[in-house]
Amino acid sequence: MPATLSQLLALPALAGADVVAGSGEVPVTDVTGLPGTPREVSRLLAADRASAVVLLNPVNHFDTQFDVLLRRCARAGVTALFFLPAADPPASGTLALAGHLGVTLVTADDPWRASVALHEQLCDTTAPAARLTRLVAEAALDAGPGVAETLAALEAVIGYRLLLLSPSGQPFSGDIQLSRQARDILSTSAATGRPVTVPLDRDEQLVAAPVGTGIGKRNWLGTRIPRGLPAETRAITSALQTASVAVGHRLALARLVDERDARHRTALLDELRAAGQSVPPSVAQRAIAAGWRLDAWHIGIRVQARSEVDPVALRDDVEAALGAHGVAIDLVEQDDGWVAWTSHDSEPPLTEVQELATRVRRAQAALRRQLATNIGVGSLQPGPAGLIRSIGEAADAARLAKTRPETGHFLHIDKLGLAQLLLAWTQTDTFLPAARELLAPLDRSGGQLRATLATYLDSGASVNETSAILGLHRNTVTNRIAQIQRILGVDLTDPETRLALHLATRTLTPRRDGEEPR
Amino acid sequence: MEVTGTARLSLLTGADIDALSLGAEVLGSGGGGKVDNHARVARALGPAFRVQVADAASPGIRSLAAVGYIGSTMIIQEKVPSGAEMPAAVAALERWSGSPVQAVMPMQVGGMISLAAALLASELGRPLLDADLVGRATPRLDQLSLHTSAQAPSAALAAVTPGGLSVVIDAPGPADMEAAMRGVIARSGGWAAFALGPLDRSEVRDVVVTGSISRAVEIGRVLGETGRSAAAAAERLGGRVAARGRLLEVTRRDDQLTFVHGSAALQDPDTGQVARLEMGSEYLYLTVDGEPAASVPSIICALDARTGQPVETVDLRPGLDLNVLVLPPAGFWTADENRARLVDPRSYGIDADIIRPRQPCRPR
Repeated sequence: MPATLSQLLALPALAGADVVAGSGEVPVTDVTGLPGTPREVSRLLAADRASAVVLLNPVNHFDTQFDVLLRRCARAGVTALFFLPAADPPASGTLALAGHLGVTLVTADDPWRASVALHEQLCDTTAPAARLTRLVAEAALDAGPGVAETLAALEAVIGYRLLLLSPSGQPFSGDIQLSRQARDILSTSAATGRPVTVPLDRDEQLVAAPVGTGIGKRNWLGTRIPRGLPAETRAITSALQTASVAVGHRLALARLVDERDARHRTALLDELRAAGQSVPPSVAQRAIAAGWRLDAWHIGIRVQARSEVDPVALRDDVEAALGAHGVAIDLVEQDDGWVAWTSHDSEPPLTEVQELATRVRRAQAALRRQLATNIGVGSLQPGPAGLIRSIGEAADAARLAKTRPETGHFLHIDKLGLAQLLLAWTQTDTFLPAARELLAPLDRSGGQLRATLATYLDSGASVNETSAILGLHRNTVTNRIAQIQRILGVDLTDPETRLALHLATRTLTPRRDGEEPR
Repeated sequence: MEVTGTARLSLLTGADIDALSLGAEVLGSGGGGKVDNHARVARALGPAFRVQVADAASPGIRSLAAVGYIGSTMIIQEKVPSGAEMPAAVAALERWSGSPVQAVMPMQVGGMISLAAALLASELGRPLLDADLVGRATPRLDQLSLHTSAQAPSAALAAVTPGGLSVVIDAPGPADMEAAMRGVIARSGGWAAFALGPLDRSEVRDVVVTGSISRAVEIGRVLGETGRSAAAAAERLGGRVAARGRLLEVTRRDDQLTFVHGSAALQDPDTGQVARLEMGSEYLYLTVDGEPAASVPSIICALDARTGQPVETVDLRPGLDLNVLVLPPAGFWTADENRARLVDPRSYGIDADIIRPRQPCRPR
């Protein structure tokens, strides 16, 4: 199928050409550029016939001579006439005649370039591909280390908007909505390492080349180009293959920097944890350099991925998702996700804390499309130690949230407020010794039984949840529960027994951060 | 070949004024100036307007003068002749040459000069020769039929400007005469009436376009009878309606050779055909769908489809509904290749050959 005029005019090289009369849906198979006045071209037309004619000299007047030329064009089967008006554009009479004779008029701001571009598209030549590939290579060498600036430099040479797509066709940059079919093609082709061409609609297609960074699946570097132009498709495909090497290199560089920063943050947080109450000045200094406000009120947030995750790569997504819901955070990468916290210069009211939890929850929902997470939110705590404590609470909450689909895998420590009240009431001199005595047999049989009992009771006497939280097989949990009942001589199906034991375990369970209960 | 079958006139009276005016405008091919002022004066004369029309071959006349206006027809329209200029030019010519002018003829039949010459003949009581030097209208003195002869008859030009300035120019060639005349009118009112002569009738008999007045009256009568039906008029006059439709565009620009050059395009709403008129002071060249259709020296006349009246080149504006009537050229020009060269499209700066009428003009 020959290319149509409108397909050709969508090329960047023909950006300065516009149809002023007639239809763009005419087939164009070959082109000839002819010098001289319309009168001279009229004479040349008899010998040199092509479906598109480019007048290389500007046209001074759209008078009888031009009308005669149009007539000759129509007779010679010319479907499109390219020209540059020297001064005034053609008036309505000329346009009407062109329409009547079926010759499409196209103004070109640079007829010579238009002629060459058309020629290259319509003839079987590798010249445009070779030239474009060379230009892309030069642009890639000159471009800076950033991904964005490299893409911009490549775009300027290639002439189309470039799109960076995930292995499954989700856009990282650029605006494109791919059909499911197109995404499938990209997903299945990502492994082959070969460029692909995916039809988008009647006029356009996506050409994409895989971008390898050595980490994970290959992304795609693509662009939308007109369909039906083999030479252009060839040229852009080879240009994209060259460009993808440069983009892959920039992505790897960026990754290297991100990775280093992540490692630094993780190490710093570990040191803060180890420091406890008294933060050494060197650590405090590095924390300030990292932009962390230690002397503030903090609310810890623990984001735990529910599947295998690359915390460095997805860091921006998490930050953006929370940011989009008005939660400004500091974020530190962990093995299975992230630790985050918000800092407040003065103690925020409870409503604000609740509001924050709600926002985090919405952000979690928004993030779910990319990443399923368990999120725990700690309580409001002051100072560096408070930060570590709140983070610890958040981590506990996140661990609990893992087994709580009914809460959307989300837990806020403040939701446990009632339990805390109860806990406060049990922190009395009379209850503490009683509790110690009650649980003492378990301690003598090894600490694991007490932890198992605490978890079992916390999870509402669910063997399943207990085994999930403790990472044990459920039979192990069942065995231990039976052992506990035997040692303590109690029946755990009795609610009152459970309440007493629950209060006792809560009172005596050490804080996760190692602090003894008061 | 002259317009065969046309009855030669011998007398012009008030009854002929309308036909002569309309015919002269058609032969003006879009130029030659508006006839209204002169026609009005002729009508006002009533029975006093009475002109003997003499055949170019009539032996009774020995010496004659060609009369006309030179300058912008637009200015003549605004700065109207008093009526004294043309008789004064003839008188100046007679004084300078010392010989009387026995008859007058219009320099060109197209446009206002026919009426002016008839008025002059009526006032002087001398015959009006049924001839002219162009057969249509032309912007330049060097395109007169006189200049087709190897030995151009010697003639002087006496001109009178609206300010009363009289100038006699006796120049070796038409180009010098034209140049001198342009110099005079540029500094004296924008136009002048002139008399060219005295010409020896027997010498110029073969270098004038004969039958011009008769043809103008004939065309005027036919158009008057057929009214707005341009096709019927064309049929009877041996011509054709070469294009029709609504005017889409008119462009004008200055031109060295024809003073002004314009181009106008019209489209037939029924067939979609697009015709283009190239024009100087007159319509010069017609193409239909880029195909040459008519050229000078044929008479190309744009008729308003609504009124049937000729539309001058200066009055063209987009939106007008036109019939383009093409009538055969005066036989004088087509009889000889050398003559034709003087009035072919190239002489107007259009690089094209003369378009011969596709169908021969049929006698009525």
